[in-house]
Amino acid sequence: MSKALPPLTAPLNARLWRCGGWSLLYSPRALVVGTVLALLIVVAAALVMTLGKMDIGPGHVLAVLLGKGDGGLRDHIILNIRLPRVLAALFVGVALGVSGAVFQSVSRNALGSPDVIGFTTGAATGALGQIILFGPEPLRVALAAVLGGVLTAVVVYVLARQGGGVGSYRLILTGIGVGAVLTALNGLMLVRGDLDDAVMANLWLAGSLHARTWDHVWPVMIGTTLLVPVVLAGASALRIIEMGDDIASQLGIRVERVRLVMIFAAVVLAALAVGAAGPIAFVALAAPQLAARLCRGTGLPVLSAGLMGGVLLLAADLLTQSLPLAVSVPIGRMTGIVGGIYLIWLLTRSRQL
Amino acid sequence: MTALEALDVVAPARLQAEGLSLGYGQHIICRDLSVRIPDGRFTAIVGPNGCGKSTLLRSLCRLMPPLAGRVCLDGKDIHRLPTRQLARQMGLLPQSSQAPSGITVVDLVARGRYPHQALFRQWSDEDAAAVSQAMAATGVAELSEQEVDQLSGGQRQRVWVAMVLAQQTPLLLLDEPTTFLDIAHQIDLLELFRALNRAADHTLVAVLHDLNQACRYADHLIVMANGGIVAEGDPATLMTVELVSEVFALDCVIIEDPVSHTPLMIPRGRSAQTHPPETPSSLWPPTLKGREHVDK
Repeated sequence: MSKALPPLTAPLNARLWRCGGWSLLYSPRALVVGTVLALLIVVAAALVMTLGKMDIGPGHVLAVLLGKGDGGLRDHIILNIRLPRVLAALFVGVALGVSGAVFQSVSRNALGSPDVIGFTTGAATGALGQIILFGPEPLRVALAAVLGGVLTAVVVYVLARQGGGVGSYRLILTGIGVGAVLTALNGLMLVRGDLDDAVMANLWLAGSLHARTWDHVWPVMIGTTLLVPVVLAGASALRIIEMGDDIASQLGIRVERVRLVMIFAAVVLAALAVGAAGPIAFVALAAPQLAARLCRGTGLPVLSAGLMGGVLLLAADLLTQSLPLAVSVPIGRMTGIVGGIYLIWLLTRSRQL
Repeated sequence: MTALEALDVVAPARLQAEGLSLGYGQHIICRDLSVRIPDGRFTAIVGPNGCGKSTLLRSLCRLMPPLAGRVCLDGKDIHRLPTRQLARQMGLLPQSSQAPSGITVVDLVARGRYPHQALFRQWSDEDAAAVSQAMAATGVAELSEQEVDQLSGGQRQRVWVAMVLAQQTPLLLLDEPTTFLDIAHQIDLLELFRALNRAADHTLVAVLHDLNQACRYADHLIVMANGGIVAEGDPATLMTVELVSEVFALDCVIIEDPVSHTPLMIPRGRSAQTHPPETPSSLWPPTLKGREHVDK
């Protein structure tokens, strides 16, 4: 104890940035990971922009994006077909990644992602109801998805609270139960609707980035831009709540309030993603886990999880478009297959189960 | 004048509770309980299982809102104080906490600085100094770069203590801090607490299971039974055979601890109750006879 201590400037693996009375801690590793992911997003987005039935060179794409197009068909394809598709993929991915990071922290479990605990299914129920009953108008579908997601979250939250806290398995198991009921309800709606609507809804339910218009993109783009800063501001508190409610509230955190705000933000993010592209499996589950492994930190990797989500979705879109198949595979099915394998791998190596 | 009023005159108390009723829904654990935590002392709360010790401690640090009554710090209701402000005055070591997997000792201890930080003021020289001091005081400085998961139970508990110390609160509440530790680690930890109390003038409140350890290390005892306070005061004058019998329904002998010269309770065991002792059962407070008995 009498030994001279090395001067401690910041926690391990973190660097300190100071300016006047301000100080920020950051992890150099997370910074590198974030930069690489952002570059990957740019590359993937550029590839998706040049991919398609009509051959449009990168030079022309750039010119159109800078507002120097010739006003022809190719401009229309770039601005109203490919750009919305890329932006939908990017923001849906970011929303799912961030949402997954929050849920995995709240449930203290890698399995606690919104697709496992029924919130994505609930959002899909809302969206399906809108499509079958009123029609596939994108803005209304997005709204209905948010409504469905939030309602599901309220039901799961209230049911999980019955026995006390919302920690860990209780939330996950309740969510799986509610999700099962909603999956059945979704199936029922497909049978009840008329054939055209049912085919339309079924396509949507597969999760797809085909035929995205700006109306699909706006809600998820605006929602993500507004909600990600909220999640970022609460991330350090959420990280401490992972250590237990008692220790967090004795450190001055209003545990229940932080948790409610964060769950609400995460549910809306997941629901907006569902509203824009249908229930896309796996991204919310895997993106935060992959990001955390890359960053090797114990913090909540909000930004890197979001970027990772964007990369995963753009990569999946590239893959579905370039596969030598006669039919184009819906992106939700693609992520579902890969995600299923990842989930099995996660379950087999988990010590907690 | 009651004991409580006597204390009022003698010891100032920043943390007080008045007319507390505590419980969960319909299940009431404590009713109309008032208590004062004397400043600068090491207070131990003792009593049988289910007497409401931990419930009282939890309510003292606003983890449990009272059904009636209030807990005050410096005369202000703690449920009305801003939570961060309170967290800079009062720290709690809960019974169980979960270290995030893969976290290092220094990172965990650094999290104790949370109430001193803000969104754009994430680390200061005071933070660094507090973390170093806390790790030095608890003897975990050498472990600073190790992962908490890899440590032994005793080391891990000291890391948690370091985290709460890094919070640098004048008041420190400990909920059964020695549970699950072997006897050597229990003694280590209690001596650490007493040293903190003496050196840094921390006010400590601990829920303890072992009556003899409480008598040995604490200088103020709160004895609880059935959700109420039965007795409180200096262990040396408080501990009697009658009190132990009343609170724990246990027949015992109390002698002087030959090392620390504090009361040492030795149970006679349940079966001994059928054979009334021939010798007087009370050897405490130490009379001449009692001391001779010990010295032999």
